Parts: sequence; C-alpha cells; structure tokens
Amino acid sequence: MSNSFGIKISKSGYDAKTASQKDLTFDSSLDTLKISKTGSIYIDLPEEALSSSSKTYTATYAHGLGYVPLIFPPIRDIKYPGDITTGGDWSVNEIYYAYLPGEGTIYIILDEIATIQSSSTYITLKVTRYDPLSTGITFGERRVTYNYNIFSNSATEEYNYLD
Amino acid sequence: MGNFGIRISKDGYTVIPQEDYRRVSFDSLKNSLKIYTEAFATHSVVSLTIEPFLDDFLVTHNLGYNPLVLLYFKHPEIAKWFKAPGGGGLEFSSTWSLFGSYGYVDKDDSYAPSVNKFTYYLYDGTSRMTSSPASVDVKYFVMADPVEDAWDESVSSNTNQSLSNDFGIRAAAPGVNVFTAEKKNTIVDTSYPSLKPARCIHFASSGSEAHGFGYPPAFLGVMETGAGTGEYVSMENDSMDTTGESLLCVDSTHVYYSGTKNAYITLFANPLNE
Repeated sequence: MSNSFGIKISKSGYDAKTASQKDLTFDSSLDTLKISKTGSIYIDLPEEALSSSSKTYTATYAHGLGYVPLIFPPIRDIKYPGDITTGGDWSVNEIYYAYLPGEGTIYIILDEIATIQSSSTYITLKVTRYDPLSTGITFGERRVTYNYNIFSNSATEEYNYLD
Repeated sequence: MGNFGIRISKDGYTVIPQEDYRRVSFDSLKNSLKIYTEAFATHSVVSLTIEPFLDDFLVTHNLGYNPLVLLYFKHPEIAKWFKAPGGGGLEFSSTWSLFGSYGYVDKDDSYAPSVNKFTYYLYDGTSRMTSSPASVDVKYFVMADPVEDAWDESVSSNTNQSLSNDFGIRAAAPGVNVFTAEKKNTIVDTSYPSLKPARCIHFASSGSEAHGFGYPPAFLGVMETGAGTGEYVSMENDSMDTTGESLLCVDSTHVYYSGTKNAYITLFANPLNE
C-alpha cells in the first residue's frame, strides 16, 4: 500500500484534494488514537502513621499490548486535595489538584501524591505518602482511583507521517 | 457486526491479516478519540495581589459527563507553548513563571463539580509577570470521549443524534445504531475532527528538533523514569521538579526538551495557534 490509497475528509469549506493535513477531519495517511481499553485501577490506602519519611503503594493493570501505549488522561504528581487525616476517597482524574507553581526547591511536608506510569506490560497507579519531618500524623483510610483510556498507539516508537 | 467496516493499515503494512494495531491507522471496530469542540482564545491575564494569583476561565460543553481535555497555553515572553497542567518560564525566561491547570468545576457556581463545564486556570507564579495585564494564548480540545470507568466497554446508551454534516463517515460501536449513537459511541464521525498523530520524536537527552509542521502542534510526551527502566511517566505538571520548569514545549518550528532522560514526543496535526 502506498499513500495513493486511503481516505481524506476535509473540514467544511475545504477541498479534500488540496487541504493541508490540519484542515482534514480525517486523513488515513495519519494515525488515529484507537481505544484499546477503558477501565479503572485503585488503591485502598490504610489508616496509618508512617515509620519512615515516605511510603509508596502501587496498583497495576496488565494491558497485554507488549509495547508502551499512549494513555489518557496523562497524570503526574497530582496531590490529594483533602485533609490528610480525615479526608475521604479521591480520583486522580481530578487534575485540578496539580501542584501550583513553585520555583526552586519544593518542600513536601505532609502529602499524598499520585502518578501514573506505563510500561510494555502494565499501567501503574503509584501513590506515595510523605511525612519527611516524622510528625507521626495519622494518614486516613481511603481509596485512590484512576479511570484510564489505553490506546493501541505506541508512545515510544518514532514515526513521521507528515506530507 | 464485525463483518462490515473499514480498516486502513499504515504505509508498508498489510491490512489483513494485521493483529498489531500499531500498524493500523484506522479500524472501524476500534473507538477513536474524537474532538467534540476546540477553541483558541487570547486572554488578558491580570497580576493579582492575593494568592494564588490566578485568573480562571469557564468552558461550557454540556456533554453530561467529564470529557477528556487537552489544554495548552503560550508563554507570551518566550512565545512557546506548554501543556497544562504544567508551567513554563524559568529555563527560557528569568522573569515570569506561568502555570496552567484545569478542573471539572464551575467557577460561576462556587467551583462546584460539574459534568457540563470545566474551569481552567492561569497562574502568575512566584516570579511574577513583569507587566500587567499580559496577553496569553490558550488552546483547548474537549473530546467527546469521557474519563469515566470502562465507558467504552458498555456502549448501549443512545439518543437521537442528528447528523451535522451533509457528507462524511460515521461508524458506530458494534451493536449501536449509527444514526442515533451518542458521540462517545461513534467509532468515527467525520463531522467531528480527530486528534491526528502525525509524528513521534525521540530525545535521548535535552535539545530541540525541527518538527516540520509549520505551526505549533498539539503534543503529548512521555519520559523514562530512569535509564533502561522501561517505565514511562507523562511529561505533565513539572512544577515538582527542582527547577519548577516544564520539560517540554513547542513553537511553530521546533520541539524543545530540557530533560536528561529518554523521552518520546507525540505530535498531532492539530494546530495550537488557531
């Protein structure tokens, strides 16, 4: 197959035969984001006081693709928005709770922070509790959830489909 | 229903048999991400006196669920685009740290959670803007596709969905009436544009590379957690890094990566500047 075959559909007002790629609603010479799986993973965090400065919990989903996929929504370092001791369940999809800007060294006092990682085998929800000053405060029991969209598209394969 | 449909393979690969979906550019058995609405705006951002120094803006989509959202903003001093949540400024400019984020809340309703609106924020960081107000370009994409649990595994919900274009292609998920399928349950609907992955660039270390689009493209990046770990994190929300600086940005000619770890940047044929 060459680029002589395929489908192009232009935005309204554009000629599909001459429109640039950005003005096409569909162009089979480019890729599409193809959903492989949707679902959720979660971690049930216990009530506890940390015996070290931090403690990490993980939960995984085996996606079965054999390569690192693109996933939505991309999540990194989202902090728990509630009260560390008394607060309830939370979803990392609520990315409003991304860290606010902070230049220079960031000081973590008491926090619960979530990140999503992906590999050729798993997507992983990772939640770390921090008590670097050993305050001994009790973290509350709660569930942390991530709703995922896993695509069939590789995130780690170079390509170039530009005209 | 799987006996009918469209499958298009990538150049150089056979369509049938083809079990590796990395080699398939389109398959009407696979739901694909669809842009429900997109917008470009230039905001006048005011330097506020009360923390957290933010300006916020409301978007109404009325989808009835929380959709996937991609939000980008351009740092006006350095004319480079960053993805929110995340920020930019320190590495390229010592004067103004600018940070963007969003949440599924209604700013006009005391920031209550909403399935029909979201609010996005532009923060004037600790290194404050040098002159106020400043104009900040923003581009967002609201997908027809939700962030709900396993939404694509159960696609029986339908409403009477009118066709909005005279010409095009619409394919629905198996078992769903294509004429009445909700937007999220259409595999493809050419009355809605899509995010079009057009290029993926690898960086083994910091640097920049010409991307060839001729406009600033939408992008997503992943970065390996360490050498050879095979584990990747999204290049999002970099404010926890000691520099407080986003690792990734684009302009109309180049992609810029300031990290040291293995990174792959997916670029879409969807412009940020219009």
